[in-house]
Amino acid sequence: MQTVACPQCGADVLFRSPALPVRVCDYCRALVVRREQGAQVMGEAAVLPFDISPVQIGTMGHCFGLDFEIIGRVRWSWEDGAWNEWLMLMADGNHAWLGEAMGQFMALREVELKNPMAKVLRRLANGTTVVPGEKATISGHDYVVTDIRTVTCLACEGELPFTAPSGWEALSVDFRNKDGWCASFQKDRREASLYLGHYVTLADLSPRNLRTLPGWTMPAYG
Amino acid sequence: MAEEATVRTLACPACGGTVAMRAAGYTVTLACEYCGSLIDVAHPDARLITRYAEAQASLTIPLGTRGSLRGVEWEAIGWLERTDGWAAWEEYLLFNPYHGYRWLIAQDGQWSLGTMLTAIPRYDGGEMIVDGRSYSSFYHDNKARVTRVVGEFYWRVKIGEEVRSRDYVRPGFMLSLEEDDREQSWTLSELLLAHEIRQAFDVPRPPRWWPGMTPLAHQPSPYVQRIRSWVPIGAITLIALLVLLTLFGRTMQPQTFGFPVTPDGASVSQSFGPITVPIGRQAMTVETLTSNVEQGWVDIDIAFVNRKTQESYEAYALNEHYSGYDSDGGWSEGSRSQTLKVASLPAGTYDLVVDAQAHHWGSSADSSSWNPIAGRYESVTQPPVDVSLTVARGARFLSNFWLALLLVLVPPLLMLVLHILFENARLAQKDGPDPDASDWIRGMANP
Amino acid sequence: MKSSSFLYALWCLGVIGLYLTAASQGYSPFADGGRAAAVHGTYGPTHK
Repeated sequence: MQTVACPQCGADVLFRSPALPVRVCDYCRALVVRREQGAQVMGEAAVLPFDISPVQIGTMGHCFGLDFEIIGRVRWSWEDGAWNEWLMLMADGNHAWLGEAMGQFMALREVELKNPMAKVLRRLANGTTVVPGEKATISGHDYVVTDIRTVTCLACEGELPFTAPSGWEALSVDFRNKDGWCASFQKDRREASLYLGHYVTLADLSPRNLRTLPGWTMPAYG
Repeated sequence: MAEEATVRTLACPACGGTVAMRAAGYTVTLACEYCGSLIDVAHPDARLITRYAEAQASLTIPLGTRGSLRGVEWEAIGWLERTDGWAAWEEYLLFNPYHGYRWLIAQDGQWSLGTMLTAIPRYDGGEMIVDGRSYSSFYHDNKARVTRVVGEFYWRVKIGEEVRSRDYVRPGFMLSLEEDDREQSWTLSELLLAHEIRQAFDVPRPPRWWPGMTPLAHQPSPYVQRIRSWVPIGAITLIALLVLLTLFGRTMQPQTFGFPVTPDGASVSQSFGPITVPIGRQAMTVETLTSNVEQGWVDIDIAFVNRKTQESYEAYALNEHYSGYDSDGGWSEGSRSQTLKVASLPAGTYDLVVDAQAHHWGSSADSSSWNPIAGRYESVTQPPVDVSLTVARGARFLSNFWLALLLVLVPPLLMLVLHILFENARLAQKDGPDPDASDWIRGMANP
Repeated sequence: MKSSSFLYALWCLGVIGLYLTAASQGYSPFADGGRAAAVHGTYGPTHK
């Protein structure tokens, strides 16, 4: 836990996780990056558009066998829509992502992208395109490509493991399989990363402190 | 943080009407309910996609209506009408921010609730498997096209957009695959019972099936359940009837009367009695035995005549017996004994009045001989046939039992006929190879 | 569904009732004889 003064507006900026270097200042929306020498502003995050997501910063639950708390969010947009990726701080200090789109949730953890790689992944890492329906075997399980998108970072809030400036572009490929597992491959100009996980429903996470939405009854979970 | 209202409003860029957006952040395309124009709301400024001039439809479930299905409250936020070239159907997009999206599909007045799957179904032996239940192919090589659209959707829906679709069914459920060049999605829908959909939304009652109507691909036969629950009732009734058959119909107090009849002689008329029917009404069993009739017949008319009222209850028996030899050896036919059952004699004392005639077959030459005294051929009389009548109170009417059995079977057989008509009409729509026995067996599974 | 089972049970009870009524009156529509039952016109076999 560390509190620094926002270099841009001076407000208190709280870093809860030692592993996460970036935080959006709640007041002036500066992207504050924590380094050894101090805190630095590395750009500004756009204002998040209004949405009706039931998850919010501070929502807690249980995933991957551990308790978690939502501490950050990145909103990605693509040509035909947008979705949220919520950052889960796990009880063991690691982090994971909760992707939220179309009312479906994907819980994903980053895994090392190393050989042996599925052929599809190698092609993607080299910049070759793939099409939906192509099969890939990742970590011994079979997946099918479900979509390929060029995505742009729209806005973000909270604590993040990377700076997420608005306009940051990446290629995002989603996979799913017959057991409800999913995978996500992301590649931007500099690097490629792979995330593995599974689809969850809100109830599966036993969530607490969901966002209150006027006019809607919050289900009794957790 | 102050609570913000969940419904946002915006002005339609085409007609200026105030349009509500209920799933902000998810909704990508909004079709104006007043003018039908499509608005792109994926990006901060709402852009007009296609301008239309008039409202697309007045909906059975107006957008914004909420209803509770399976314990969750849903709001109808979008509506589209699609066709595959043969049939048209409507789909409502239901939304709850804590539960995501569902689809409410209306076709032929029937309503199904659809959920998009996150796990891809497994393929096994010609069927698709989801959650351990198998679905068999019904429609393939189908194309579904959007014809009308109102409200908000999470993808760029447009009029005329087409997907390739395939449907798999099991009674009460349909598994649908929809794909275009960019993605594929699986949806599992469940046919809702009439009371379930009407408790949730105010829609007209789904029509009951009658012969001549075509059921939906995943409509379960209403007759299977019925026949299944009727079988135990019919079985118990059958057992009860069997018990009653054995209980009633015992014959009691047999009395035997006998007399001879000469074949081709005078007919015999005799009266026997008294025969008493103590109470109520009773049937009488009369066994007529003519043990020595041969090459001829005996016609026995009986009548129970009530001594007081002189009412008569009649029956008759024909006993005959023939035998001979031919190339195969000996043969015989005919019956020397008959059992008569006379129904419903009221209480009282009766006389059994019997008229009997007998005949013997044979040429007069055989049965005549020379009488030397008279000097001519005279016909020889046959020996008399002994008639023995055994009269007993009570009769076992097996025919009543069969009639009752038939009556018990008629309603289930009627249901079976209706089930066959239903499944025939349903399976007639199936793509691919003609329906076979396995399709019929699947149609009988429990939903 | 349940009401149709009830109706069929009623039907079966009716059939049993009919059967009982017939049995108690010694009646059968297929009896060989009874009131005005067999009016016998001919004597002897009427068929081969």
